[in-house]
Amino acid sequence: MNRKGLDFSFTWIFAIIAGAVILFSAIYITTQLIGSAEIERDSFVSAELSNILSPVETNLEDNKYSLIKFNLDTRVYNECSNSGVFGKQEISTASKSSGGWSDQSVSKSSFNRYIFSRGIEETNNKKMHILTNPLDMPFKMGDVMILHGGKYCFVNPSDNVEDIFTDLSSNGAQDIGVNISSRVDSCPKNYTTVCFNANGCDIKVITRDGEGTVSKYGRELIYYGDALQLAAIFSDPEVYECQIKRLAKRAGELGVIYKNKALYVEGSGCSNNLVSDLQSFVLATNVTGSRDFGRIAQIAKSLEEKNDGLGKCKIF
Amino acid sequence: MMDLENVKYSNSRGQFKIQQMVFVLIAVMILFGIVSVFFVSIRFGSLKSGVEDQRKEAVFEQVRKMAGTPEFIWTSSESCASCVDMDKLILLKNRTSYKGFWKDISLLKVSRVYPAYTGECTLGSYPECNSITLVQGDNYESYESFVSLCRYDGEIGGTRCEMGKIIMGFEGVK
Repeated sequence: MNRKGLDFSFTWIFAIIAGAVILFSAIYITTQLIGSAEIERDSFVSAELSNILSPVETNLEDNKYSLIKFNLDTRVYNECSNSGVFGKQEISTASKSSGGWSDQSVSKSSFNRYIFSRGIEETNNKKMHILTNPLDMPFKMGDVMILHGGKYCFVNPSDNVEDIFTDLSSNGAQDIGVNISSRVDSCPKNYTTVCFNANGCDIKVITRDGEGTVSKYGRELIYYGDALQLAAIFSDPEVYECQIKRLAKRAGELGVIYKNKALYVEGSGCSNNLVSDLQSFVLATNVTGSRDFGRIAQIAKSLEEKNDGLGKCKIF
Repeated sequence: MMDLENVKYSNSRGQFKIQQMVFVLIAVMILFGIVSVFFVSIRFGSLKSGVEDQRKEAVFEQVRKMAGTPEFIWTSSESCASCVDMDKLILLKNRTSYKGFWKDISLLKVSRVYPAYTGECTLGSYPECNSITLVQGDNYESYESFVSLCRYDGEIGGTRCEMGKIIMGFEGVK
């Protein structure tokens, strides 16, 4: 009886130990696979988001609005780098599941995209709004892409800005994440308030003749034109300044091409006096931040006037 | 005698059971291994096709949008969404700063469809040439989009637009 008992227990002990090893290995491998599956899924979301941003880019149109719906609550990480000829835009995502926020996914980078948003932009009801405005200064430099989760309340914006939002929202029929209000206290709670030429809001915009400053988080961002005004409102100061520098770098490279085109076209018998102005424009694109952008804007204005007067010999 | 026989019998039966259990466990491990390999191969297969689909989707969009990018767009005369500025492209071709600018693209080329010319454009042969290649890699699938190729023509003293296409290629996933 005793021997039989020993035989039985040894078999079971052996089976339990081996079974436990197999079971724990299986659990470990499964956990690892689920973890990498989450990162893989988020990397796909980043790649998909990057692909979605291609049709969002403008061609000859003025402004564009797009709504992105995610399957899960998602954080979009917007990383901007100034290194290299054109700088670099990187986006990655993380999603929220029952276990909380996943790790940041593998990022997708591009040299010709300029996304203005908070460093970490979160979806609101799994939705993300994208406003795209071309930046023409004096020729098209690129598209200013504004990414935001919504819940903004604009108090007494300028007519231009109000018109942009009225058009993009199809006269208010579509929710584009921005409410227009005439008073701060009419804004819904938990909304980021933006005051135009007035105090009492989270963000203050001083605007005069299409240029001015946006004050937020104790910092002042300088803008020129409606596209950059909106970009400054919706971005973190670090992201805004970095993207401004990247846009200036692209403008510099485009300026060199237009300068060479002006020379080439002159050689074909089409005289223009834009070469020296374009040279000054290229030099002005070496900026240290939004404060220096004024010089670009100033030369761009004069270039535009001169170019418009060239008739058939227009360079841009 | 009876006891000894019983002990012998019991011992060999116990060994047989252990062997049986070991075989079963090995079989389970092998089965687990095969299932894992199968699962991983399916997963990598779908990942591969998923990545390829993503890239194709991206390229389709990029081909459609390329004519409207600042480097390509023609804005010197009337607004035209699918007009490409050939003068800018030939000048851009030799700019080393644009090397690597069009990420994930293995081929980026603009070709004239009509009137037909031959050869790659250089500053010497332009505009009597056929194509301007900005990016040339290898192992790609190419996609095309028809556009108007515009330039300033000194002979007519104005803009000349001809029929052409943008060809873009992307590397397949191997």
